[in-house]
Amino acid sequence: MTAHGGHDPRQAEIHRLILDLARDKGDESAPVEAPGDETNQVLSTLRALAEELRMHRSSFSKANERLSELSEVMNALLSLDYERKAQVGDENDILDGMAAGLNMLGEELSATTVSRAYVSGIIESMTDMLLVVTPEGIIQTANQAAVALLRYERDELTGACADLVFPGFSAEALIEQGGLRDDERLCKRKDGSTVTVALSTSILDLGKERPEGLVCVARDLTATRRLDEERWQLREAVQRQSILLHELSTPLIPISDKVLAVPLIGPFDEERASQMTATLLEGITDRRTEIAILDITGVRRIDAPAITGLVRAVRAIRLIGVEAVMTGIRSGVAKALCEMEIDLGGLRTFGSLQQGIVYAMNRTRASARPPGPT
Amino acid sequence: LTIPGSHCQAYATSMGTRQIHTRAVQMTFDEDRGYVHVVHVPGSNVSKADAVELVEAMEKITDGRKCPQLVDVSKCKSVSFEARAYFSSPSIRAKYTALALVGGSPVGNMLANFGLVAFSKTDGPPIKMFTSERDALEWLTRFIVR
Repeated sequence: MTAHGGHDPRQAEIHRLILDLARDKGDESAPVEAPGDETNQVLSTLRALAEELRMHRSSFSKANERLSELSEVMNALLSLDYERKAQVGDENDILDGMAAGLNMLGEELSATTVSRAYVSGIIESMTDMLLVVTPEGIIQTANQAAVALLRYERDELTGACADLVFPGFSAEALIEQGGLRDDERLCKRKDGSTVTVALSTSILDLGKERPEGLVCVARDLTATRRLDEERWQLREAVQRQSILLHELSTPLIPISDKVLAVPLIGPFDEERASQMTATLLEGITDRRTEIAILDITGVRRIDAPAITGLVRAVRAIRLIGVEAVMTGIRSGVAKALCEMEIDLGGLRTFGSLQQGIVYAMNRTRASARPPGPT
Repeated sequence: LTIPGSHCQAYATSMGTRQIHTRAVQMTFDEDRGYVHVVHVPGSNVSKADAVELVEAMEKITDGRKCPQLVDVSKCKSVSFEARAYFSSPSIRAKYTALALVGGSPVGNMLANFGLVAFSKTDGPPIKMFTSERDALEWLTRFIVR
């Protein structure tokens, strides 16, 4: 009805459209049967359509959310992240089917391929610098160790020429020669300073016609060099000390031009006896000595091989025409000499070094005196 | 028909059929027609342990006889990678003479398809996927030995 009480043709069209919509949805029961006039029937149908629209909107929104989730899982798979899983609902609809399929695809890929997270983890946890360089010499990948060593930002390294870091670097030449191993060379930092590294390169072969590039691993040698230097200094110090100890262990004290005293102090073993013999013989020969006094006051303990060494030293001294005198024999040493039943063959012995020196001085003086009248 | 340490419940039914329920499936052995009918429980998520239990139940229900299998996965929600690998291993495939997989739903079809892919990696008895049990049974009949 119009405002003027007449029939409005638009009203009839609204009724027709609503009833057609209800029929179009293919529902057997539509349009809704309702008691009363045509308007009541249209109103009931409209209510049913409104409810249906709400449900459609709701399921459309849910479907959108689920599609969005599936899209994220697909993106994760494309990024080689196989841990991401899609929710499989209870509807068992096509979206659940897709979710189940994506989940299984991820599991299959995870079992047959290496994930990006795994590879990245290895590369980033390396302590040595790693650069992946194309055959044209362009840096494709740089790990955290490279960023730290070279002091560049990662973005500055990727896409840059490897020549920036290794002056004169030629990827082509290195590919040609099959890579290299532990090649010491200078590596240039962003601030212009250089650092010596051991560079190893290997060809990145992904089974294509030509190599994909070069994998360059460089180890900073700064710490190694410093350690080598410290080790060298330590070795030198040990050698110097060893020489000093050797000299101190067999001191040759000239008492006069013809008398030489060798006071032995501390532990005395076969090796030291041998050293002493060598030093003593050298000293005696140089000084034209006539009497050598071996003072063992400072030797508290002596073992059988050392005693043998000592006796051997006495014999050696005698062989070159020098008289050997031994002083300061302690009770322990005397006991050991007796137990071993060593024949000292007329070796002069004295209780103290002083007595030995007196004897030696008198003896050399007497030998120097011209023969008197008989 | 009990399986020690498993979640199986076994039933002896009339008309020459035997049944076992496991966590993941309801299994029926049709002694007259000589095949095993496995129906996955609605919403089941099949783990490796479920798979092992299922195979044990299958051996038990048939008394170790090799029979064709009709497996309906239409209500199943997921089968883990480990379970798929177990089902497709040659030693397990050697325990039956043919396998008809019924998808019957979007998720079921997807599971059956992945099952086919997994099974195709190893040698074994014939295997085919169907969308209805009727077609599956018709195909399976040719492998039934009376």
